[in-house]
Amino acid sequence: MASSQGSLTIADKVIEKTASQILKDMPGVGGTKSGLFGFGASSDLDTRPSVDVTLSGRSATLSVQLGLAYPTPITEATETIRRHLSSELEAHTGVTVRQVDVEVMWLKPNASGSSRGVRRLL
Amino acid sequence: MSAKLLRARPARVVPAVIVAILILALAVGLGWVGIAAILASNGAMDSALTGGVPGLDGIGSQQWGSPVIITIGIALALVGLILVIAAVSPGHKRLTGYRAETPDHIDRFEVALPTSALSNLAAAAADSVDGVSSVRAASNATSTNITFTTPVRDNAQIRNDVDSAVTERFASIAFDRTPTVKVHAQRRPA
Amino acid sequence: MRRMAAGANRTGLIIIGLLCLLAGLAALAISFGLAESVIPGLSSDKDLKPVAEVVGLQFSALIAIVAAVILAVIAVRWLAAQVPRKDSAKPLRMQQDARTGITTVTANVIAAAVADDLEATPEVVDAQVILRGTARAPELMVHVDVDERADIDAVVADISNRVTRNCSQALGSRLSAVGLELGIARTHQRKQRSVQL
Repeated sequence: MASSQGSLTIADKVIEKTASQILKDMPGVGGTKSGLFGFGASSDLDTRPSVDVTLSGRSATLSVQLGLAYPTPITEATETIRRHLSSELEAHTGVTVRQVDVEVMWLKPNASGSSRGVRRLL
Repeated sequence: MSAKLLRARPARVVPAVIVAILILALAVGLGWVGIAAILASNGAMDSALTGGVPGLDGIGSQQWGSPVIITIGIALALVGLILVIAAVSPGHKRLTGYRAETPDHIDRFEVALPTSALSNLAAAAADSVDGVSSVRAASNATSTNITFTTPVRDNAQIRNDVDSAVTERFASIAFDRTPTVKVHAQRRPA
Repeated sequence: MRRMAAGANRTGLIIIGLLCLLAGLAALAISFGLAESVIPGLSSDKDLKPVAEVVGLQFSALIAIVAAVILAVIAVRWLAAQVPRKDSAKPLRMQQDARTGITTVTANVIAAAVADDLEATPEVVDAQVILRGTARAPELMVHVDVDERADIDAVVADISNRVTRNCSQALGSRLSAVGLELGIARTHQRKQRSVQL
């Protein structure tokens, strides 16, 4: 039946980008911009976290490198991120998220990201 | 009570490094002599040490009562005594305890100031006194010695001022035991 | 802050010291004829032939080389132990359920955040932080340099009430130990060249 309607293929890169954007839109979550040969690298709450996706069948395992606002409780924050990312990604792309491994790369006070304003939790 | 979080006593790094280097030198010497002896007898593994170093069996002709042996004995005993003392004596305390209340989110809270901090605090307080041109301060865990120079001839008043400035500064800090203060004046014509 | 091999140093020194002391005293005892009562015939006018015979024995060169290698290994390991160790905590695992994914934070990330936070304390000039222990029982080792005219009690109060509380909140557990060492920075040794508002 699927063949008669054509098929939809999503590249892993697309899932990575989507996941990364979902994370960026969460308050208190940021990433690291890699500079040229490490120069000009910056970490702030306005940068996209980096996401690595491993696909197997229709399910995905994600490994995420991100930064968090300090002093948010790390365990609670990453559990929220994990739940939110899984449900959003499933809604956007249709893949089932099995696991989200989170590596916290930095912790910074929220005040520095003044341009962010208040963001709505999606 | 488990061990202190902050290391208050010296770790005896310098004597340890010296002794380790001496052991290394001894090892190199011993290895050298051994290899020389084996090479001298064309690689025979059962060769004696004397084969490589001709003077080595000269030891046998020394008498126990000879001055050389007595000197070596005294030197060894002295070095041994110094090392044992270095190992056993606790050494100068380098930290002064500070009385801090433990907040409820911490199980064990230890605060301390190194003796260098005492000296700097004392010197800064003394520096602020009028008529003082330069200050040196030296501290151990319980006391601070301050020496200041001044161009003023009659400096008893300045000494009192320095003493009270430093004492007051120390009194404002919640030390376990407030360090005692000693002030010396040195006149240096301007 | 960093850990030194204090215990190993003192143990090593006492062993070597006692060996030297005993060897020296024994040699002196023989030299002054005091050993004769214990070992008859060992008087001060005897020569060191029995000692010299040891180095003339078969295989003594090989034994010397083996002994040299052992001594060299001991010496090098002792020297290597002198490098001060940070002994930071292993990367902390902070997930609730490992099946849905693992959360990892390294000790340096936490330590850097605490150090940044410390520098927000008024009159703190410099801060170094080491995180030891585990996620359940974290230990903070802190060294701060404060201005020479700082109100020390206020700095300690801010660290104990705000900075360590933030850290405890981020980690989601009580801090099992905090060691704080306060250094004093002389103002004339430092000059602030800009102000961030």
